[in-house]
Amino acid sequence: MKRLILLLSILLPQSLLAQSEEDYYRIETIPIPDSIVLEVGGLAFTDDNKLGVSTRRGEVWLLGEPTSVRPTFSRFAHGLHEPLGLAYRNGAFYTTQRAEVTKLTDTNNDGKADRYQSIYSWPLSGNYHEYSYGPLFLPNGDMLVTLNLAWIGYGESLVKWRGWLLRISEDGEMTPIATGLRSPAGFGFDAEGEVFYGENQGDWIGSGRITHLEKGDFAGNPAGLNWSQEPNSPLNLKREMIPDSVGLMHEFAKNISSVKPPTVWFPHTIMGISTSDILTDTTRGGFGPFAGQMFVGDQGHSKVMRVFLEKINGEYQGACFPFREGFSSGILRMRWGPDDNMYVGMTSRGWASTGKEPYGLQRLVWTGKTPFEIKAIRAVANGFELEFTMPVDESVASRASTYSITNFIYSYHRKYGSPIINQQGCQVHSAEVSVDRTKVRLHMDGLQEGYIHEIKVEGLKSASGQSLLHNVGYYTLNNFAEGTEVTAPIAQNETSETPPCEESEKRVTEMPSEWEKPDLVITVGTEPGLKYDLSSFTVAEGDKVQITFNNNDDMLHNLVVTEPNAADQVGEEAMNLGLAGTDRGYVPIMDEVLFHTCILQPQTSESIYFVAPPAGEYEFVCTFPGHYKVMRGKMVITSNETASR
Amino acid sequence: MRYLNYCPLFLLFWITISCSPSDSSENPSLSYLPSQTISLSEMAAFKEPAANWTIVASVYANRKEERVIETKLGTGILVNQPQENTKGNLFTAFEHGDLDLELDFMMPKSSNSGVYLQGRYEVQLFDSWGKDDVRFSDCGGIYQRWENEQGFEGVAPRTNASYAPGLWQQLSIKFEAPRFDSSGKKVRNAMFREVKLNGIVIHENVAVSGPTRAAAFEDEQPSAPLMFQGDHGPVAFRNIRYKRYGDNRIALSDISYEHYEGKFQGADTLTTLKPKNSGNTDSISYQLVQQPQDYALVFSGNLSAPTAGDYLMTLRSAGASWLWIDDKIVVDNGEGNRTDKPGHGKVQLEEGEHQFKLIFNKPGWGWRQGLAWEYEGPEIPVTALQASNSMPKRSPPPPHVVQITSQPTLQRGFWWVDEETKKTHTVAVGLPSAVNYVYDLPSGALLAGWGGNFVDATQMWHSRGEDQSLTALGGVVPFAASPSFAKLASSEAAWPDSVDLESGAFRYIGYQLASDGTPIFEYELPHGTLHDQIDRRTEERSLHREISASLNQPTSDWYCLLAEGSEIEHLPDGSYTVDDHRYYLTIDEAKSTPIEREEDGKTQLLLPLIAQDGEANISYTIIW
Repeated sequence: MKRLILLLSILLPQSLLAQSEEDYYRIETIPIPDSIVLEVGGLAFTDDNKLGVSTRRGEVWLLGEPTSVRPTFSRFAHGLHEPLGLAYRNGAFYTTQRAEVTKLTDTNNDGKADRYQSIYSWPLSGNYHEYSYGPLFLPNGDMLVTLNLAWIGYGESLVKWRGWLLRISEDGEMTPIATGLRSPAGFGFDAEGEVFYGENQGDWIGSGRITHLEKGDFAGNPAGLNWSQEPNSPLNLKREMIPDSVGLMHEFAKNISSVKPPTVWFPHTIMGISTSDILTDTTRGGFGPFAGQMFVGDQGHSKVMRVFLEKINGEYQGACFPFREGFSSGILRMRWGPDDNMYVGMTSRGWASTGKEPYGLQRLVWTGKTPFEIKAIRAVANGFELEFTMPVDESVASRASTYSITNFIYSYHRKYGSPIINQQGCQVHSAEVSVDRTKVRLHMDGLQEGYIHEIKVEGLKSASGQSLLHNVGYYTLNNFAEGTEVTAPIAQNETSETPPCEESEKRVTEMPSEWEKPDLVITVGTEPGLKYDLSSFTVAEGDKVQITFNNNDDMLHNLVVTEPNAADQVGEEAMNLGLAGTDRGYVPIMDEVLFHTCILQPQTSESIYFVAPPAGEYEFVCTFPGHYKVMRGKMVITSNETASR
Repeated sequence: MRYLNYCPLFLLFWITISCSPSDSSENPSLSYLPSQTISLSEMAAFKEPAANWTIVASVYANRKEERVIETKLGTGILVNQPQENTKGNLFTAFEHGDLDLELDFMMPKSSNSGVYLQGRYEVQLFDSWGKDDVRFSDCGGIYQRWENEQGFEGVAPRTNASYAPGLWQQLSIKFEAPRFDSSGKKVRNAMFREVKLNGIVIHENVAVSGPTRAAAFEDEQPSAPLMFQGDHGPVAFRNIRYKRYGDNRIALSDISYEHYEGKFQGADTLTTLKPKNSGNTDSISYQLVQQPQDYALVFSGNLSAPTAGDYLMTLRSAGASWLWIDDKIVVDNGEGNRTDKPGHGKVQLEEGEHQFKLIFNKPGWGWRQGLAWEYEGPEIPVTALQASNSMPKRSPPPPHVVQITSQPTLQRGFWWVDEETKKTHTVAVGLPSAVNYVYDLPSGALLAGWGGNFVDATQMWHSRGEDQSLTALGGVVPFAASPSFAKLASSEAAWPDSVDLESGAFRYIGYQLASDGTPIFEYELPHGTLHDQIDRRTEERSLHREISASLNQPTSDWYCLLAEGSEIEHLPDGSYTVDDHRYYLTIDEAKSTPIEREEDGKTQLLLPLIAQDGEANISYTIIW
């Protein structure tokens, strides 16, 4: 049998065999002993190639032979308060607890920390959402930490330096560097040692993104500006300078120098839902063809994405691409092992992920095969240049119709998230293939400065007949390349920001006039961790039902009633809506969708009315991308005879 | 209160009334009707008391001396000092069926007594201090029954929650009397719904099939006096409070409702509007209206009070709510929007029919739901008047308990020192000898101690852990929450209530684990360093604290705060008790003279940090 497969793979052109990410990058699971709850907060390799893992339950575990099939586990430290980062330097671990940066040293060499030194401590209000991350060591031995905002119905900086990036020296000197941060769970260096941080969709943040941070920068969420008038603040921007509805961030940034637009946007639900760690490929080819590029994890979608960066007008911008999905839990941390493999630490407690495990540790291994990928997208005069990982088939590559380009942007406003606005297509006039056939130069009309450009490539094959593993990239065009002719800007309004859901027979939000009252009112709320607070309810067929959905969570949710056993299908279809998702409230048009609410902002509510369909076990599910696998319940409909009121 | 059952420290400091966990009836917010109190100014509350029971002003039991209580003449405390020929039990003049009982008791070393509900069902009082395993015969045990020379039943307390001999301890009991049918046949056993010792629940729903051993009566009755055991050993009681309950309840009838749609400023605006609809209903529930928010409901009808007297009305609502009885406002919960933040009001009602009006106004807050109307009345326990579907039900998450191992276990997390104050830089330490403490790192304050199991981390480790707090798994004794160390201009200068993180004058720099895992906390002072180690030194439930400072300059202006409370008493044996025998404190090898002083109505015990050859040492032990 094995021989037959081998034979087939020789006889068939490679392109005819379905390829998958797994062919190029293999996920290996590192077994964790049953007694250890390894909810990963931080990862750090030691100088002697052990792997330190800090956990959300306050422990630090030391893995011996971490590159082996079954590493050993020994507990190095305990009792910490949710340490969400770990670093190793000069024989000691450094971690960031909620309240401080702590240095952990094993002074008597018994394999356990006996010295817990407080390097620098900051105040806390006591709000659970005040997560603290890091440290990240700078070459000179100083450390960077980031401080999450509190959540009080919206993100807020209740005590000093929440929402900031801080630099801290080994002897406890602290310098505030930048603010505007909301949920800065991941940050790291690019290949040149510049600092980038990942941000999640939320209030003031239309979609996930990474932003280059330099001293004095303001990255978007105004809460941290509460402290911009402190004597050591590196910027003077006042909070009241940020109106509730700004419009477009890149326009706003033109007038206020400290405002830093995102370097690369990650379109929400298409390129993840919660960007986490940032890891630059320093393996010099040991991990495949992307040396020097950046990998960005996603907690909610259990995947890793890829970023190409370039500098235009002295500022960073670039493109993100899909890379590898299918990890077992929510990705929080990524680090390179001594074997040039990517070690991925995960947790999904409180924030569920598409990978269903509550926590995990996996290793991403390059199989040695090169995928056919869009390696890079560069801004050039009046167009883009696409670079591929291998020579392309010139006949398709030189056709303008192979490429479709759409641009769009998100609103910059107080509200949680943003729909896609000002979406329009670009006209590709020509595609020129380079002499070595690894690059294609596109000429086009319709480029928009400050916008995200979706670049899709259809039907392209490599010269050897391989299909693209991923055929899309999203380039954030903060600055035009030199020589670009400026086209008329799109009217900057939020008119396209109408509610994404229309009233229809599947979404009736007013009680039908012929009803005197509903036979039954079902109230469904949410619980933290992507759950409805009601797992099932029972109604009788023909009942007049009112479902009131209260979104008391701190993220977007809807409630979609589906045909029996159709929640998975509906959830998958919602994920596949792509850019159209926000416009449709993430509700796909399909017969399996029976009734639904709109997508609801945090702490809002909607009631829908319907007549219960024939008896059966129906499902209700949140189709916000990434939620459907866990956030669901059952609607049991009994036949009229058995129903009792 | 957030799972902590001790008296809020800030009350001790700022309010001069006495405060113990059991006197919630004195709570100024009046969330319950006051209990009845057994007067201890004379023996009139008791039936033919034997001479071994007397009323005194104060008691002292040396914690090392067996079965001796010393007393001072006066009133306020009931004491039993049995003699060979005089050792009668003591019965109350009142009789009771269902009963809530709260009291403080103090026992000398090795003593034994008991509280018999209806003179028949005993909760044992015993000096069980320091015991690892407890039986039905230990303090808080529901004593066994005895028939045909055989013991049976009897339930041990869930944990040993008792304090050291000579300290005041708190007992609270919720008891239900046996029930009988009209022919006098018993249809339900007597039941201890809940028993708490020193704030820890030690029994829940324990049924007793008949009188326990050494009961005063062999039969069972719907009503009988309470008995305090006098023939086994000396014991003292104070603050004996109770509530008796009968079968009477309020009845509502002829309930009508009006439903208004929209957002309303308050109850007054409704009177000028027309309801969207109205009608009759058989019960009170917010679910009459099928919308999450932006509506008001007005219920009115008849309220039949079974007896004349004081009634306490309580509204819990996910919106504003008001209650009128006979056109007088009783509860104004107009600021309310959460069901866990109730509004209360007391009203005196005549027996018979009254008119009520209840308004529930829900402008917004659509994600919260619930409307409850509860009341308490004369011999009526807290009872709900709303329909059961008017309050959402939630089940608690599975607990995450942190276990103590063979080495000290540390766990950082937030800590509620009182209902208002959550400390965020705290670490709980569980010693292998099952004594635990919690410590505030920036200020070096030893906040509290407890015996038994360590901590529950559910509020940190379940889902997002929205409270991020640890809770003790034993009866918490709070110590001083103020910083342990301060530089004072003089020994009379005010003690600071926090440490300035940015000034750096007293800076926490970390902790070192000793070879046995005990943490030694380290601080930086302007002219040296300070080490602070807390351990259990003896077999007793105690915490021994050793503070040592290395100073490169002679200093005389640094002080250590050993204790703070409503009162600190210097005992004949040289030790101190804090807050009227809440815990003991003994100072070892004092190199300086302790300073007792008053500040804002609280008493403080200070020791100056005086260096000899560059070293200053303070060590003391807290025992409870």
